[in-house]
This record gives sequence, structure tokens and C-alpha cells, in this order.
Amino acid sequence: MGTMLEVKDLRTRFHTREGVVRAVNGISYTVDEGETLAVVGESGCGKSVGMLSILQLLQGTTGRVEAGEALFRGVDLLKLSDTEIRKLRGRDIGMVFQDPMTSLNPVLSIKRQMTEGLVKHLGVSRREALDRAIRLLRLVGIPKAEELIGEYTFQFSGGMRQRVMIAMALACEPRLLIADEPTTALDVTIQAQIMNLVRELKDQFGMAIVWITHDLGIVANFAQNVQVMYAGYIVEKADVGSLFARTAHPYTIGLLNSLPANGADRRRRLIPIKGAPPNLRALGGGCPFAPRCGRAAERCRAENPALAELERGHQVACWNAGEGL
Amino acid sequence: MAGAGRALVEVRGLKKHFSVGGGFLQRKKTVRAVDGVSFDVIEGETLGVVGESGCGKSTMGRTMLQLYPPTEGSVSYRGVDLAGLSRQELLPYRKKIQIIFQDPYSSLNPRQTIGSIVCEPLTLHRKDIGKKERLELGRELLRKVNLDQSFVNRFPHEFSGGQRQRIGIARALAVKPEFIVCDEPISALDVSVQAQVVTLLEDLQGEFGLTYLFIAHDLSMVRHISTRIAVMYLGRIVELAGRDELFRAPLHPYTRALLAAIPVPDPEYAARNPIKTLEGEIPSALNPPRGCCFHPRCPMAGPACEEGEPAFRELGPGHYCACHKA
Repeated sequence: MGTMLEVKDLRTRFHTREGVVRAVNGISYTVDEGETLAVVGESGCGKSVGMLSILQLLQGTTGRVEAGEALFRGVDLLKLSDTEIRKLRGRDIGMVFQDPMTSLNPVLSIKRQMTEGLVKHLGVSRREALDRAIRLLRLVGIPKAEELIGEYTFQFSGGMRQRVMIAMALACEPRLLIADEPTTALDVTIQAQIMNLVRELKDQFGMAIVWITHDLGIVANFAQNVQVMYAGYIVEKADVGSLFARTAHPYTIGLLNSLPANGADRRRRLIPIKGAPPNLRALGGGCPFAPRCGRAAERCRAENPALAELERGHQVACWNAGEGL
Repeated sequence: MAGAGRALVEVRGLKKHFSVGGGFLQRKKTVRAVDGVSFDVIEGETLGVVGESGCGKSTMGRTMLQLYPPTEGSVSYRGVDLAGLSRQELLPYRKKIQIIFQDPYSSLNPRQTIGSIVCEPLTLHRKDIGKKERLELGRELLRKVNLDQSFVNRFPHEFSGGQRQRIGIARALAVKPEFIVCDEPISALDVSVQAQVVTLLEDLQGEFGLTYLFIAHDLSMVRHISTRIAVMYLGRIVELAGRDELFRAPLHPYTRALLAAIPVPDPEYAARNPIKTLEGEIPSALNPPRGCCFHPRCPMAGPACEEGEPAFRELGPGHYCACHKA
């Protein structure tokens, strides 16, 4: 299996009037062909900004990628010109965002939005593009696709819109699909439909997937590998099995303890994480989780731990990891 | 329809229909948001209400509070039908019944200080107490929801979602209610903050003997907090049972589909129980299907299901279900 995406030491900051927001603070990871990587974290942990950064989608914001590389099949995405990255986005890299209503154009028909990309990226004729778009809509489970393709997004329900987004993301058979909380706004039965659909399409097209989510249930059901982000850092990464079986970072443990347990001991009281995430304008030198961590010691408040291997394929950034939590 | 304990609220045949559209040469249409629900809320329990967007769960909660006048049916609070009361007569009940809203951003007035938000119900319901005493009560309430008392002079925008939700809870507690409708109180919050709010609600229930109607779409959290759970679909309650009973032996095909669609955060469990999909989407409440409202999506549907609406009947002790096949 080849490496599809390799991100090295990515750093992104937002320069606001109130100060510099350190949104992404040196994250490195790889995604292999055919792999599903889940990126987990709560609001403001940098999981979305990290993705927008490598796709050069921060233009128009105060965000700047300050350092790092993002090699997509060997090509550094961050060094590409506007025109060059446009050719990749939507063709080799498909994207699905959380809110389908704001990512689809309300005044263009679905037909127009879907075929435009195909004509532009693949150079097929309009006729061919239309056939292909209809096939894709059927594939994502839209009934009467040949009729509905002439309609506008506001005529669709949330689940249907998200399917249209997925159909558009898959239109050019991308090598990499980046999905940013694609099911968060949807109901649980629709979420299940979308998850199963993406899984089937992945098997069919063999693409790599980066799935950004805050839902550990989705991680357990859907991904092979997972990385947990906190305050712009990756604090733990592992394959899904060992992340759940041998959870090592106090933040990840805290997240799992915040959830109602499934099964026998479900009556146990939830254990919330104390306090709130740090202000990204005022990150100190220590571990960003230290102020909320029950095990924080002198060293945690002074020095930020780097990711270190705990066991094969399981890395954690914690001074106390491996000391039997 | 009572389980163990005394019914605090009895809901019978409650309907709430809204008229939409209508205009020049266009007929009005009716959205049957809540279409005939009957159940009791037992004193001291948490009755969870789950269902997907548009199933009418929030409308039901608000109609129970008389925030919307019911189209039909009754809501009795300790034996008194609230729907039959005038505004003035309703006032003492407004004190006993409070609500916590989903969106902690739009439910707090940005121009009011936290103190004045939390004390507002007191200015209405407790005209006997003075301003100074009121503010002291406000501080006390903030302490109860684990917020700093000094926050009374600050404004909502200074607080995070979880803190705002606790301010909303403090406001609901101000008039010493007995019954609180929690309308998706945790849906807008991050996982770790959800747990903070849920444990707070649990603690307050223990301390004040509160009864909750807990509306949510996240089944795992509802399972955690509820005594009994009602499942809604297209304006109707399709199943109602004790929390453990509902998860162990769900009777309605929709409940089963909902349970099978939850991604459980446990990879071993996930490997044994892959997520199952329910085909189709929820029909429009403008034009619900004939017969059983679930039949177009139901894997078990037969001819009877297209004909008659199934009765909501007790199939086991305290286990109610509306399905021809159950």
C-alpha cells in the first residue's frame, strides 16, 4: 500500500485583532491508499482547520499556514499555485463538508453543479457528464435521479443534500476523500445510510478517507486508524482497536468517560472532563491539557510532551503515559 | 397507563396541528406535528423522548407547557387540565413547570446580565421579594449550577455553550419548579460538556426531587438519564417502555431500526453488530401515509398496516407499542 497523503509538521495560525490564534501546532500524519483515518476532537481543536490548510481553503480568512508540508502522492499541496490546486480539488481529492446547504449553490440546479466539475476536470462532453451525474446520484441512493437532477438544493431534505454532496465529491473518482463531519447535522438513521454508503463506495473505488468527527461511535464503526486532537496538537494516535482497548492519553480517557457506557455497567455515573479547552491565543509552554488533567505534575505545566511510541503503532503525547493509568 | 408511582402529568389524545401556506388561490395545508399522543409522566422520573428531526418531540413538549395551545386533547397537571385554564389561572402552573431550551445561544438575551436573566422568573412569580433578596437568590442559583457567583454582572457572550446551558438551568430552577421539560439541552454541546450538563441535571433531580421530560435525539444519552423512554415517529408515540426493557426487547420495528443505527463507541461491539440501515426517509407531516405511519419504511409491513392505524396498547407490563405486528 502506497502513501496517499503525508502531512509533516503543519502549523496554522489566525492573525486576529485580539491576538494570534494558534489553531494547528505542528501535526504530522500519513494516510495510506485504502485507509480510513478518523480525526477526533471537540470544537476548536483544529481538526477542520488542519484539513482546510492543506487544501489551501483558508483564503479569505486571517488564517495562514506558517510551516509544514502536505505531500499528496509526492506533490506538496502547500506549494501549488491557485490554478494547480484547483485542478486537484474536486478531481483527485473529493471533499464533503458538514453543512450541505452552505456548500451547495442554491441558485444553480444540481445538474449544473454536478456536470460543471466533470466537464472541467475530466474534459468529457456535457451529454456524457449528465449520464455520469445521473449514475452517481443513483449510486448514492437518490430515487428518480434523472428527474431530480434538474432541481435545486432547497427542494431536497438534509439527508438528500448530503448525498448530493457525496455524489459530487465522488464524481471524478478521487483518490482521497476528505469528509468533515459529514453526518453531524443528520439524524441517526440517515447517518447510518451515509456511513454504509461511503463504506461501499470505498471498497468499490479503493480511495483513502479522512473522516473528521467528534463522535467516537463513528470512529469505532468506521475507521481503521484514529488520531485525537486537542488544542491544535495530536495527543494520541493508534489503530482503532488499541485506542479503545489501551486508551493512553488522559484527554482520550476523559472523552470516553464522558460517554454513557454501552452494556452491563451502563448505570455508572458519567465522569465529565473538568473545565474548558484552553484559549488558543494564550497557549503556554506546558501540556495544553494540563490545566484539566487530574494527573498533571510540575513537568506537565512546564514542558509540552511530544508524541512518543507506547507500543507499535500507538503514540501518545503525555509525560505520564505508560505508567499505568 | 401508570407505572409505579403517581402520575404528575397525564397527557390524553394530545394533538397539535399547524396551518401552513394558504394565500391567493392556494389552499391551506395542515402539518400534523403532534397527532394524538397519550402518556403519563410519573412523579420523580425522567421520561426520555426520542425521535428524529420533525417527529414532533419538541412541539409535544411545548404543547404540554401550553406554549402552544393544543388543537385537541388534554394535559392534566396533578389532575387539573391546563388547556382549559385562562392565562391568569395558568400562572401558578407556569411556576411549577419550567423549560430548558436546546440552543444556549439564542435562549439568553444578549443585553441582559446573567443576574437579571436568572432572576427574571422571580420578578414575575415572586412579586413578594425585594430586589436585593432576589439578587442574593440569583447568586445562590449560580452556585447550585456550579458557576461562580460573581458572574451575575456579566453578559451571555462572555460564556461558553456549556456555561450558558447552566445559566438556562439556573433560570429554570429560580421558581422552584416540580417539572422541567428539557428540550434537547445537550445537543448543541461538545461531548465532554454534555457529560457536565447531564450530571448536573442528575444531581439537581436528586436534590430537589424534580421530574424531567428529557427530549433528545441521542439515544445513548437518553438511555443513560431516563427512567422510561418514549419513541416518537411522525407526531405519534410508537413505543413507550422502561429504559432497560426498551433496549433489551424493543417491540416496534422503528425502535429496532433506531437502535441498530447508533454507532456504539466500542470497536469489538461494532465488529459483532455492524450498523444496519433503515431505507427511505421520514415522510412529510403534511401528508402522512395512510394506516400505520411507518409502513412505507417498515421491513415487516403487511396489508393490514396500509389499512388501519395501529392502536397504542400495552403489550407487556408498562410496555406500550403501536404496531399491528408486535
